[in-house]
Amino acid sequence: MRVAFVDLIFSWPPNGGADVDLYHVAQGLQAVGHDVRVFVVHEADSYERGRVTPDALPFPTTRLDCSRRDLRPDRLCRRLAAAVDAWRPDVVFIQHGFALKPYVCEALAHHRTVARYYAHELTCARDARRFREGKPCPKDYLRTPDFCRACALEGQRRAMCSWRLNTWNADYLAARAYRPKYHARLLASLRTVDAVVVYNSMLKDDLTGFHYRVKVIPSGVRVADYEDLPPPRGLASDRAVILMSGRAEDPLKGLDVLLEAGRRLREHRRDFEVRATHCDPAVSADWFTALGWSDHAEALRLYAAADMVVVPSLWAEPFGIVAVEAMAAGKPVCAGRIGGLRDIVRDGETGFLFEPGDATALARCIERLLDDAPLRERLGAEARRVARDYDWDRIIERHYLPLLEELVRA
Amino acid sequence: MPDPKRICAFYSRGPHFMRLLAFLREREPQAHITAVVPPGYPKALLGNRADAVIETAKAQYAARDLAGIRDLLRTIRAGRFDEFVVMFDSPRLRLLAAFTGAARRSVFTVDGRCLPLTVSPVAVLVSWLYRSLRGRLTFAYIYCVVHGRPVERRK
Repeated sequence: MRVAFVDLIFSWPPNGGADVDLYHVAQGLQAVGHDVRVFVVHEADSYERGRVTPDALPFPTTRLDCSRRDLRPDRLCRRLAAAVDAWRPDVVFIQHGFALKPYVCEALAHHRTVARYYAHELTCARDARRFREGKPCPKDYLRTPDFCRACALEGQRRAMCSWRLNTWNADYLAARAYRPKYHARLLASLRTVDAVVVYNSMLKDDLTGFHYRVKVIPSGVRVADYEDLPPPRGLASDRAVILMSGRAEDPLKGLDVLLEAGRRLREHRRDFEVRATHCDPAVSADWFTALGWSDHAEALRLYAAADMVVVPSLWAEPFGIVAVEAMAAGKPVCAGRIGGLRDIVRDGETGFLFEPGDATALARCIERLLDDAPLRERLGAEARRVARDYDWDRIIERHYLPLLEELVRA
Repeated sequence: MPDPKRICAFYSRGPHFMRLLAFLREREPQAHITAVVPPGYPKALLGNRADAVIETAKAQYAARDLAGIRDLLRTIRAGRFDEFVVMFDSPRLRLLAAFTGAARRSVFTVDGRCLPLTVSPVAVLVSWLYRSLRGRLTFAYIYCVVHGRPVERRK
């Protein structure tokens, strides 16, 4: 089968989880014998959009070089449709993209198309995070468009007034996503695609009534990469190590909650150390180590030196790759009961779930694991077993191959 | 043998400061690299990426804090740097760079490129005014559209 992937943002080396997902899915489908081609939009002078060298990728890639002027919906769609049509695919996956994505869905509607959404792009016009005033936002662009349009504009005030536009802002302007018609276009574009793929069951529930075929397909890891990891040099500790990995400097990731839990634990015990991939000099304590930025290989090793991993996210993480990585490394995970983390971490089996932002509950979960080494071992072993379900080979076999079959039959 | 090149890397909050230092070390292994970091910054993180560290008196400087900025500039100028590298291309950092006395002033972009900051402070000011005016007009127009033409009334 000829499978095309169209991505408006893709870069490699990756800028985020969406790029990693596309890379592994395209590679995985190619490995099982499908004919794959990735169509990438590249914008000159943008670090976010299409920074790829096609020859360096393991699958055939067509890079469409554009200036910002070419990124107007009509021009962009004409070029993309011409390139994709010439290749004659059986199925087209419309991957990551911001406000321009509905136009692309319409332009490719004469193919069998699957729209892939990675975060809250459909329900949050502000920044796809659906997080406002310190908590997950109950509003939803599909159902309360006027509230969300005003919120989206307010969220971009600073960038717009200083005219320092990132890809999100530029697409918002190019797509005229502020206009009332845009909402109708977004709903219409959802009707034109044959299937919608999201990361977790919560995102699926958001789309109830807007599309009849919404599939939940998680992202994955290469489980083999996490086995027998050597510990990082110079980070040996005689205390139990609690690790927070990922972009810990992002306030939505909840480092403050972990620090508060750490402070409470520190009041009555000294047998632990908190480590975070973070380098804010304002955070300093004898039980806290800021690990700063590290590359992917080094980040994997950090798991080997940890006794447990904490994912205290405050926002509804669409997926939560850190939790899966920790599980693949055989570590129990304490995570907020929110977004994709609810699907990944099995409470009491592979770790513990707590209410997002509740430092007392997190301290209780950590304490339970600190006090009970056999429990840590047991949960870690089960976590490693469950993480095998997130191996890329299994994701392709269980989710993508049946989806392709279903689409072709339909 | 000529003296090694003296490079100053100016910290801004974000994960890619380490990447900047690693990039500079790789580009010019012989250079003497100085990291300018805020007070309390965990210097152990820098490892061998920096040869010297200057700790600023404050974590952040307000535009009005002229005395503080003067002292900071004096400290940096004393280092007699050949190159001064910042992490963002903003008018404030451009102005700061312009007064450091470094012959070469650069910005390290998020995608790992080191580009020269060669424009004069006047050009920076003109560009800032243009951007500011364009941005505010666009914002005002969109504000009118968003608040004057609701989606729900159309239905």
